Order: sequence, then C-alpha cells, then structure tokens
Amino acid sequence: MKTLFHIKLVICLFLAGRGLLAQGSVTGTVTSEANEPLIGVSVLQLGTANGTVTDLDGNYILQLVEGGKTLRFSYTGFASQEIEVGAQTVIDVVLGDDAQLLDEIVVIGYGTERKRDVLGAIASVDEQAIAQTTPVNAFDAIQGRLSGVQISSNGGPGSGSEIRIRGTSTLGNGVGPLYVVDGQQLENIDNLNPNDIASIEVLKDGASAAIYGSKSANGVVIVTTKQGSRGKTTLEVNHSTGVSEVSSLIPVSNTRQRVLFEQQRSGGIGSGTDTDSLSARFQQEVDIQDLLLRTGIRNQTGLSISGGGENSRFYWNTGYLNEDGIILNSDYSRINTSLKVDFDFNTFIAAGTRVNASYEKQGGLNESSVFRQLSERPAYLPVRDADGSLFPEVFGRQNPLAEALETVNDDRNFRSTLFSYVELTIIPELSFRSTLGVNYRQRKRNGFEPTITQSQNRPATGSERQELEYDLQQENYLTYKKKFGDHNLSLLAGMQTQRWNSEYSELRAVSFSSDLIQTFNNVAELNTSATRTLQDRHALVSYFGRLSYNFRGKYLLAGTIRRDGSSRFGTNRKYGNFPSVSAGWRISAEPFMEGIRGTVSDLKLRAAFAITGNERIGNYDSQLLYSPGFIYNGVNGVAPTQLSNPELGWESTKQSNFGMDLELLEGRFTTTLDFYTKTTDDLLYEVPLPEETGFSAVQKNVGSVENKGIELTLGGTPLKLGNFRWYTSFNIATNKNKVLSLADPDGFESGAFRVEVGKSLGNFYGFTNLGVFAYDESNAFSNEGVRLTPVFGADGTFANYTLNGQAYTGEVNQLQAAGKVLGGGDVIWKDLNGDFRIDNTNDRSVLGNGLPKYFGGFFNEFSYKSLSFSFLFDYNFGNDIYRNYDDNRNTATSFGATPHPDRIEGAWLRQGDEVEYPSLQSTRSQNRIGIDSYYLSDADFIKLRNVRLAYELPGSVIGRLNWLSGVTVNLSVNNPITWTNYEGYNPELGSRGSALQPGIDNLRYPNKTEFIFGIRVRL
Amino acid sequence: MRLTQSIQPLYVLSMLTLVLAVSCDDLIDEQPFSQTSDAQFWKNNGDAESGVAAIYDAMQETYRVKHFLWGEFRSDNFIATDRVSVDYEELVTNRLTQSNASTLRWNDLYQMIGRANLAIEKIPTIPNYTPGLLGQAHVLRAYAYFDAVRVWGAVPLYTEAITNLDQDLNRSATDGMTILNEVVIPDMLEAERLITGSGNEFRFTKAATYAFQADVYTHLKDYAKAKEALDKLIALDDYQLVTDRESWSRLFLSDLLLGSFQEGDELIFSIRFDILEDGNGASGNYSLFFAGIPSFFISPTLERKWIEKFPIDSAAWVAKYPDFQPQETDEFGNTLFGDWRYFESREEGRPIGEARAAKYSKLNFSANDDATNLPVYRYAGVLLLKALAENRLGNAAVAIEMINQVRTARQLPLVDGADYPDVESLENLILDERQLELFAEGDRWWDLRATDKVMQALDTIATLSADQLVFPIWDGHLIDNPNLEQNPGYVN
Repeated sequence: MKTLFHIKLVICLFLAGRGLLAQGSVTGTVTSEANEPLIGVSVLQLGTANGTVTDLDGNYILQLVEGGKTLRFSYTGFASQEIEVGAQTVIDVVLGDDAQLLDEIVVIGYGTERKRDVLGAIASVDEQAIAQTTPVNAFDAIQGRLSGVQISSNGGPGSGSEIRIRGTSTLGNGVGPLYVVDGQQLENIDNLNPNDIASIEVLKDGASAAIYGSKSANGVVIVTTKQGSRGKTTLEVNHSTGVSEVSSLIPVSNTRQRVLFEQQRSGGIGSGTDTDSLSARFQQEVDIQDLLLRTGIRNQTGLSISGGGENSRFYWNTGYLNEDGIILNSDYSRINTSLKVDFDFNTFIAAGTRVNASYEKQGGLNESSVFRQLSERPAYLPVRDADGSLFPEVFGRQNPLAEALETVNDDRNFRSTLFSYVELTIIPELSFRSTLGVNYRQRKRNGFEPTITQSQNRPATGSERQELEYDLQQENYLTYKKKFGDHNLSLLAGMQTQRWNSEYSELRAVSFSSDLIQTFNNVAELNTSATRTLQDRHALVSYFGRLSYNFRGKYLLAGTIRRDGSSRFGTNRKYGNFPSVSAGWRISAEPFMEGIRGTVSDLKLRAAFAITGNERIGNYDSQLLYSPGFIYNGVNGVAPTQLSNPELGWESTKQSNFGMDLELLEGRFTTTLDFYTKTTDDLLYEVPLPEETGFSAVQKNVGSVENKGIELTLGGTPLKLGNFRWYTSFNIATNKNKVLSLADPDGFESGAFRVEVGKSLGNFYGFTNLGVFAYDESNAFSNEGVRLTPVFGADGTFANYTLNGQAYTGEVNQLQAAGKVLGGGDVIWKDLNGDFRIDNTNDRSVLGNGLPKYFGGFFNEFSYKSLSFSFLFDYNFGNDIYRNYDDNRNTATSFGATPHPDRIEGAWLRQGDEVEYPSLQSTRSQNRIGIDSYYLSDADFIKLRNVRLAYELPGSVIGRLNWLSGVTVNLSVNNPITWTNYEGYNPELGSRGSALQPGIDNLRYPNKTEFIFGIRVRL
Repeated sequence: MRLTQSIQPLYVLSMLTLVLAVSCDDLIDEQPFSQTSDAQFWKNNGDAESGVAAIYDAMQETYRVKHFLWGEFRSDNFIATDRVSVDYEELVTNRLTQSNASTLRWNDLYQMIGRANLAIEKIPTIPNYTPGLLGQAHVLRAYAYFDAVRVWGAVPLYTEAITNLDQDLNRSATDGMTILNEVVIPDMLEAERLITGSGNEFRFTKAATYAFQADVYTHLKDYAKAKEALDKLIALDDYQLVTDRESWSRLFLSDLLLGSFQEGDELIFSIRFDILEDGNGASGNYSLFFAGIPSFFISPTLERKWIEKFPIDSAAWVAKYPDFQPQETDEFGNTLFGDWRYFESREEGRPIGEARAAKYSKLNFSANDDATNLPVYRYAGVLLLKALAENRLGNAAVAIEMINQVRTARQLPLVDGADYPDVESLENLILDERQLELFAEGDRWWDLRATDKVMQALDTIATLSADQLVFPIWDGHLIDNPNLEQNPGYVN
C-alpha cells in the first residue's frame, strides 16, 4: 500500500555481448544491495514448473523451457522481482534489503518499519484510499477503513470528527489519540488538507504507541504528508464540486396537532380545531425544518507542484475549500498551503523543512438553540411578517429563522505548523537527527445577537473570544542499524522536550448601542465580570529508546522505553516510565513451510505488551491554587480554588496484544487478526470531597477500566482477469468495556448514565416504561406484583378483577409515582423492588448502553483498464441512543414545547384507551419522573458511505497534447443510503469527547447525501 | 579513520544530552499565570484585602437566597402557591426532607468558613496588617458558624485552613454549644477588639459586630450580654430611624422602574450585590418574593394580624384609635388608614392570601437583573431586639420606650405599658412589632426559635416535633462524608 521511501528497484542488466550462446539458457548472480551473494534464491520461469535456486555464490543457471518468458526471483525477507527475459542471457539481480527494499513500509514512532516485520497492531491507509470519499478532513477519509478505529462525525461543516481507538479507557475528556504529522506531535489535525496526506498509520496497540509515552494511551495516529520525488516536476490540479441534500427529516407537529396539544395539555379531549376558525393563529402553518434546510454546495480546488533534483526534493500544495452546509448559516471555508523541502547536502548532512499554514472559517449556527426550536416550536408561530421581515420572539420562543440568519457566531482559525530537521549520517549505520517544531494557532470567535433574536426590550449583545496557542517541540535522537550476518539490529535513543502555551482573552458586552456596528466600539455597556484574559503553560520532557532485533526475518524481537516528566503532575509523581516488549515469529520462514510457500507466502504470529500513559488533565491540577474574581463591593477577592495533590499522576494503561498476519498467493489475499486487552489504572477523576472542607472535588488517580476486543481485517483480489481486477477488503472489530474499580465502590451517576464496578461505561440508567394504563382500575396488582385484569359490566362500570382468568379476591395494590397513585393514561412504570412505589433509589436499572459492540467496514473496487468503480460500507451494531430531544418535548411540561406528532395523536384521552402514549395533561408529573426507557432507541446502522466511479482518460486522448500527462474524472455519491431503525437525524452520533456520556441525542446536524463530481489533471 | 571521525560528534552529542538532562526538572516546573500559589500570596495588606473580599463573596453566594430560606419561610409569614416547586413547598410547609438541596446544601457556607479560616491563619503573618481586616475575618466566620448551628444544631467544625488531602476531611459533627462557646463567641469578641471605626454599611463594622453579638446572646438567652452589646451600638450614635413612608420604603426598594435606592440612616449591615461584579441574577430576591410564577404568597394569618392591629378602613381605625389621626394620605389626598408599612410590604390590588411580598420591588422583573442588597442589620431591628432583652431583664418600661421609638418613627399610635402587664404578653407584643417591621428580612423564624415560640406561631399551620426545629442535613453531604449522621428529627 504505502511506500514512504520510494520503491527503488535496482536492476542491473548486463548484456554479455552479442555472442551466439545457446538459446533458452539464462545465467546470473543474485546479490543483496550490500553486494553480498544471496544463497538459495528461488528462480522460477513463470507459467511453467521450471525453476532453480542460487548456489553458495549466488549464481544460477536456468535452462528455459517452452512457456512464459518471465523469470521470478524470490527470497524470504526480500521482495520478489519479475524480469522479462527478452533477448538477455545473463540477468544479474539485486534484491533490495533494509531501507531500500521492495516492500511496503509503515511509519512507526521515530522511524519506519517494513510492514511485514511489524510486531504491533498498526492499521494504515494510503493516498488512493483517502481520495475515495473526497474528504474534507483526514477522518472522513478513513471512516470504515480501519478495524478497531471508530470515527463518528460531530456535526456540520467544519466541526470535525471524533476518533476512538480500541474503546474508552478514561473517565475524563481525553478520549482522542495523539497525532504525529511527519514527526510533529499535534493535538488536532482538523485543518490538514487531506490532499496533502500520503498515508495515515494508526498505532492501535500499546507496544507500537508506547514510544510516545504519556500521550499514547488512546492510540497514536501518524500522518505522513506527500513528498516530491526526484526527476520530472509534476503539476496537478484537482477540483471537485458536491451538491448535498438532507438524508432524512425528523417528525415535527403541524398546526392542527399543536392546537390539539394545547387543548389536551390542560386536561381536555380537544378537536384540533378552534372555534375561531378564521384566527390567523390557527390558519398559519410554518414548516421550520423546510425553512432552515437548503441544498448544500461544496467546492474544493487544489494545485500542487512537486519534483526534485539530485540533492533536493520539494512538494508544494495550495488548496481551497468552501462548503455551504444543508442548514442555513452553517458554512465552512478553508485555505491552506503546505511546502515540504528536503535537501541531501552531502552524504553526511541532510536537512528539510515543512511549512503548513491554514485559515478556516466556520459559520455561526447556534446548533443547540436552532435544532431545539426546530423540533418544538408551535407550527402556527410566524417567522416572517407579511412584508417579509423577520418576526421577533413570541411566547418566549426565539425565531429560529432569525437565529439562523441574523446571529453571528463566527469561528476563525489561523494555524501554522513549522517543522524542520537536520540529519547527520555519522557512519552509514549511525545517524543523528535533530528536529524543531512549532505549532501555532490563533482562534477568534465573534458572536453577535442582534435585537431581533433577543426577548422583548432587550438590546443586542455580543462577544469576542480569542485563543492563542502555540507549542514548541525539540527532539534529538540517534538511530543505529546494522546487519551482522543473519542478525539484524536497530537501535534508537533520544530525548524530547515540549512546551505548550495558551492565552485566552474574552470581551463580552451587556449591550450594544445598535445592530449596525458589531465591533466593540459600539458597545453601550461592557460586561466587566466576563471580560478577562487567561494564560497557562505545560511542559513535558522525555527520554526514549528502542531496540529491535531479528534473526533472518524469522524471529523478531523489539523493546521500547520512554520516560516522561510532566509539569502537570504532583511533585511526588512527576516522572513516569512507559516500557514495551514485543516478539514475532515468521512461521512461513521455517523450513517445514517450504513446500507451501507458494500458497502461504507469509505467516507471522506476534505478541506485544506495553504500558502507556494519559496525561490529559488541567495544567495545574496538582497544585494549591488561588484564583481572583471573587469580587465584593469593588474589591477583587482572591480565594483558593483547588487543593494540592502531590500524588497526582498518570493514568497508565497496560495493554497486551496477540496478532497474526497471513498472506496468501504472494499478497493476493491478506488477513490480519488481533486480540487485545487494555487495562487502565489510576484513572484521573474528580473525586467528590465533603463540602464542609470548602471544596467540592479534587482530581485524583482512582479506579480502573478494561477494554477487550478482537479485530479482523481481510483483504484480497479475488478476481484478476486480463485487465479486470476486483479488490475487496472487509474489517470488523469488537470492544467490550468493563469498569474494574472506582473511588466510590457504589458507583456514581453522570447525567443519564450510571458508572458501576463490573459493568460497562455508557450504561443508560433509568425507569422502565411498560406502557400506559387504559383505565384507572388497570392499576391493580396482586401482592406478588402480577397485574390484575379489570372486568367491566355491560354498563361500563367496574365489576371485579381477574388473575389468570380466575376472579381475584385478594388484596389489590396500586402503583404510585411522584407521590400520586397512577391511573388511566399514566405510564406503567416497572416496579423493581415490589413495594408499589416508584422511586429513584429502588426502581431504576440499566436500560441500555451507548457504546457499540461491533463495527467495521467493507470496501470493494472493480477496475477495468482505466475505469474503476468502488464502494464502501461501514456499520455499527449493539449500541443505543437516548432521544433526549424527544423526551424533552414530549413531557408537556412547557406550553412552548410542542411534542412529537405521534405523541399528540397517540395520547391517552379517555378511560379505556389502549394507546402508546400517556395523557398530555401537564399536571401529571408522575409520567415524567426521569430517564424513560421509551426514549431509548436501537442505534444500529449500516451506511453505504460512498460509491465512486473514476475514469482515467486513455493515453490516446492525452497523447495529443504533449504537455498533458493524465486526466482523471470521477463521479461519486457520499452517504446515499443508511439502513437503520433510528428515528433521529443520524444514528452516527459522536460523544464530543465525553467519555461517560455516549449516545445522548439532543439533535445534531442532519445526515446528508452528497453528489460529487471531481476532476484531476496532471502535467 | 571513519571511527575516529565519528567519535567527536558522538561525544558532543552525549555531552549535549547530559546538559539537557540536568536542566529537565526546571523545564517541567510550571507555575500558573492566571492563578497564584500559596507561596506568592498573603504578602501585604492588598492581599489581605483580597482574601477578606473573597469571604464576603462566599457570603453573597451563601445568603443570596438562603438568608430567607433559613430565616423567613419556615415561619408564619408565607404560604406556598399552587405553582411552588417541591423543594420550596417542603420548606414553607415545614415538611423538609433530606433531599432538599436548595435549602440544605452547605457548600457555599463552608466556602465562606474556609476562606475565613485561611484569612485568620494568614493575615497575622503579614507585616503591618490592618487589624480591621483580621477582625472582619473573625466575625464573618462567627456569623457563618452561628447560622450553621442555628440551622442544623451540630455541624462539622473546621477552624484551620484546608490546603491538601492529608488533613482530616471526614469530620463528624461538633455540637452546637461547643461551636458557639469555643468559636463564635471568642471570634466575635476578637472582632470587636480588632475592628475600629464605622462607616461602610456593606462590611462588618463595629456596630454590625455589636448587632451580631446581640443576636448570638439572645439566642443563648443571655439577655444581659445582649443588652450590653446593643447599648454599645446605640452609644455609637451613628444610626437613626427614618421617619416617613418614602424614606422607609427606600431602605429596601430595588425596583427597576421606581428606582434602586436601598439607602437610609437605619442600615447597619447589608450584603451588597452588583450585576457587573457578581453576574446575572446576582441576588435571589426577585425570584423568591416577586417571581412571575410565584412560589410564595404572604400568609393570610400575617395579613389579618396586621389589619387587626392597624385597621385599613376608617371605621375600624377610629374605633381602635379614636385619638390618633394617621398622617399619610392616599393619591387623592384622603387620609390613609392603616400601617403604611403594610402597603409598602405587599403587592397592591391582590386579595389576602394571593399577594406577593413587595418590599423590594413592586413588579416582577427578570431574575437576571436582580441586584437587590440583603439588609442584615437595621437600627429598627436593633431597638426592638433591645426591647426584647430589656423585657426579659425585667425592664418593661425601657422595652415600651423602645417600641414607641419605632412606632413614632412609623407614624403609628403608641403603646401603653399598662396593657402589657406581664413579661409574656409584652414579649408577644415585641415579637409582633418585629414581625411587621422586619417582614421579609429573614428574621421571623429566628425570633420564634430564640423565644421558643415556633409551635405557638405555627399552631394552625404545621405540626412539627421539637427535634425538627433544626433543619435536616442534605443527603449529598451524608453520602460524601460517612462520619456524618442525620439529625434525629429526620431519621425516618
């Protein structure tokens, strides 16, 4: 798949004159690049059974027979080469080894590794795969591609995606991985142009990631950007245009339903019509969802030039992206430029630099308020006046159209990264590399809420927030690589220092003088208590080393160690050690596999163990802090806000990984299988303190959580007929989460969730809804809690109860909730402890879980000559989503919140109604006692993520223009079909970094289907 | 050849690595910028000022609603509306349960205590510190503990600064008398010694300290000491009663239309609130007394008592006070019969039992805009408390004189000592006088508690046992600290 160091095939062809040697005989020598003869290299005449092996000096003689005229040279640990014999009689072959082998290379921490020698679980995608979905960011590109790597989108254009590797192993907010772009460590790569990316490697297991120490517990994503290659300078222009539409709508009540709701809310039956049939209020109907949605358009253009001379290489790319989301006022645009230059000054010194700068602007949709209005707003409330002007707030409900159109909520980011290195090759085996990285980000968020969006008589208001973040990274390391006969050894030792700075400033107005000027020279009154600046810093110093050894590529062994010291932790635990060991056995290299090597071309077993860390807490969480801002009567008071905890330290994750790599038929089919167990101890968590101490919580290391799973990736080319080729790959991963211990042995609640020892994170905890009582008399239970059936006489009066068909004469018990005896039209809550009183302490249980049980993807590509057709599915099973937006609007507590249409149409009205929903009467607080199992939905989905048809213009067309070297056009559709039972906008719901609360839907940006046309021209 | 060439750079490198390694501990020693550390703070009087301001800031948080939740709503002054929340309904009907976080959570109160403990520990280490600041820290701690004892009876006792986790953080409750005798009283005497000068009504002055001492001694039924403190306060001669309706109303008014006054010579100590300093909804006054969806109405019992004492129609007035002509007139120039404090204290135009308390605002305004100061000590209250103490000490005549001072200022008929021949009847009169004068100021419940008259006052309103006079401890506190036990009256 990927080749970082360009594949170099050095074939030396020596023609032994034009002598009249015997036809059909070829001789030659096979050597390694180090000019050592290779013994026992198999030389095979393709299409025949004819072959030989090289002798002790690497020489061979092969008598050709009838059949193919191509020879294949293959040798374990080296890449095979196929050479057309033609008229040659002497063919000397150099098989690549070490850095310059003809093999796939993957990037690992501080170096590279031959893919086949990898001992951990590393998943990678290359640039072709990235282009598949015409991505806006790097994550779109790898969704569904990598087993065990779960990616979910978080909202509208520009809002990025969320990546989670091998489950949730923290209780805090640091659930995301570490990013390393060309060696530079970053917290976020949303601004990276996916067209710049040559490959993405995800280090999933601990041993691969452990070289990054305290930042690696959630996995590491290594991004390698494109690089120029020596030779011809190429210019590439690409452009794509996409048109998108919403994929599905959510049900919203119309005016008739709204009126019905109002009538039923006060306890009536209602007709849905009003006596004043001409009232404008009941004639009006506004479809907010329709008004807020639009056709989204995306344009993405890029220009790149790359090339290189003898001593230098360069790659330059500038891209522009503009995306208008499918909701009004949700726009995103990005401009970025990157330049990468490498110089080989002489054999001793090499140096290079990469500069990347970007500007992003994300438009100002106030997501929570707009979507809430969209789902709840009474349909008869106008949004525009007769003259087209926007309507102000009515009934305490903001006008969502005004909110979407008139509020300013700009989020602009100016980012740049600089990364330079110098590498000294002291002796060929030993090199020293020193790097310096700077990462700079300025973020400006401007908010303005004009008068039209304010409640009556309130002035316009606004804010400006600025964040300035920059970090520096400096590292020095030595690499030693040496081959002693059959022993291959490589060593790495180095150190790194990192420092992060963050500055924040906020200006906030109480009021603006007018809507006309939105900058702070037009402020009527400044909000002095919210206007402030803040600053903080964080530093990390690290030492690291790696040793890897293999014997003939057959027995492989590696170990790494990193020691990190962080400014964040307590004086007693400043430093942490993060070791790893891994081992591999290439069974296919054993003599007993000799016979079947043609079929099983590679088979390797691997095992790895590591301890990795997570240091993501506040910068000064271990110190006793005094903060200002406690103002009284003009004096700015200063008070302690945090207790010191010198014992505060790292979260450490012990991870073991067992894997197998299998390759059949020289790479035609590949399988990778991994089993892992991750146990995270010393979880960083805010532990509650008795409040009489003057403090409510302190950050401590307590508790542990385990993640276990299996990952499987299958890939292959099942069909290869002439120019037709079918490539397919499938991946699946499971993850099982379990809390092993907590500070509070009884567990704790976090929103709708309960965290308990022995159970998974993400457990929804609440009351079980068993339906609705039809009659007041239906609320009757035997002492054992079995429901009795009420029998009514011919005149409809209650006669008696029956149990199992027999008349019941025993004691009748009635359920109570919120201090009321339940009756007809009330929810039948499940009484777990059998006391017939529904209460928080005894009657709640785990209802479902927000973490998926298994997920993965399925990719297929069919190519015929220059035409290719491909599609990608991804899927996610076993988790639930709580439809919180439905719960909120359906409780009928607020007059302004209109329930779901089915909730209104299907509400209980009269004694005897057998319906799905309880009465709408607002006083029935017994029907809204907490998290209700009714709103828990199955979140399983299969998405056809993408379909793409690409056509490379044939050479006969291109050839007419001598300046042109290639044109590719493609048509693709993103998200055409989603198979799900989930009713909300999108079953793919990121948790926005919250480890404890996955799967709460308060309405997010809707799922969209996008049709894309793209063209790529190469000169 | 090659090796010797490579040795030098290697040597340089290892030296470099060593040098870097040595300085690494410094590299990861980061001090905060936007906060400060213990080592840097408490260096001068400015720091002491900031430290003490932070105690007042916690006091604001503590009392913005709890001043009334603790001191007002359990008494006979208010009833619940039909739209009241569960927490407030429990409170006003005296059926508190341990889940009532809005009334019972003590996080802010202990923050106030914690900051005071710190200031008391650290201010003396500052060279040439201002004694008044230390004095304020003492009296603020005493004030908080006094309320803690009045509210819960026994509470955990912290008198030292908490800075780390090695300290004992799971303390069991210390009984109230111990806290009063060993912390509150020494603190308030120390404050009296340290605080000099008068002035700023928004801070604990000497006068406010005396008023507080009188409260504590009255609670302890040590009337002689209460009288002593009140006499010292009166002797300062810094305060006087206002003498007309408008001035009286302006002691309280914080009305966005009529004006925000809260001024007058009667105010001894008020907790000040400011939207710009303390954010939206700085004070909780509007939401309690004059909310759009009200939780509480003035109780009919109180209204009837008020009207009965000071009839609001001419016939009844003349029948009761034939010789006293009210001075106040209504908008048409006609004589206004009744107590004008009554008209200033209740929502206009509402029937009895449906009126909100209108002492602070006359309309409902957004709770966001609420910056109403809390009047804690007022001169009229001081005089009436002295009346209470003098009566108990057997000086009925002085007590009557105190009452009449207030009645004169309120343009009301005077009382005749002969009508109240015994201590009991005079005390009831004094309590009524305090109830009407100090309505909606967070005093009534404490008056009833101090004089053991809760059961009597709530006679027809609620029944509660003696061990329910204190409040329950919030269940959250019981969960966080296993050494705490629920007050006996609230154990199921």
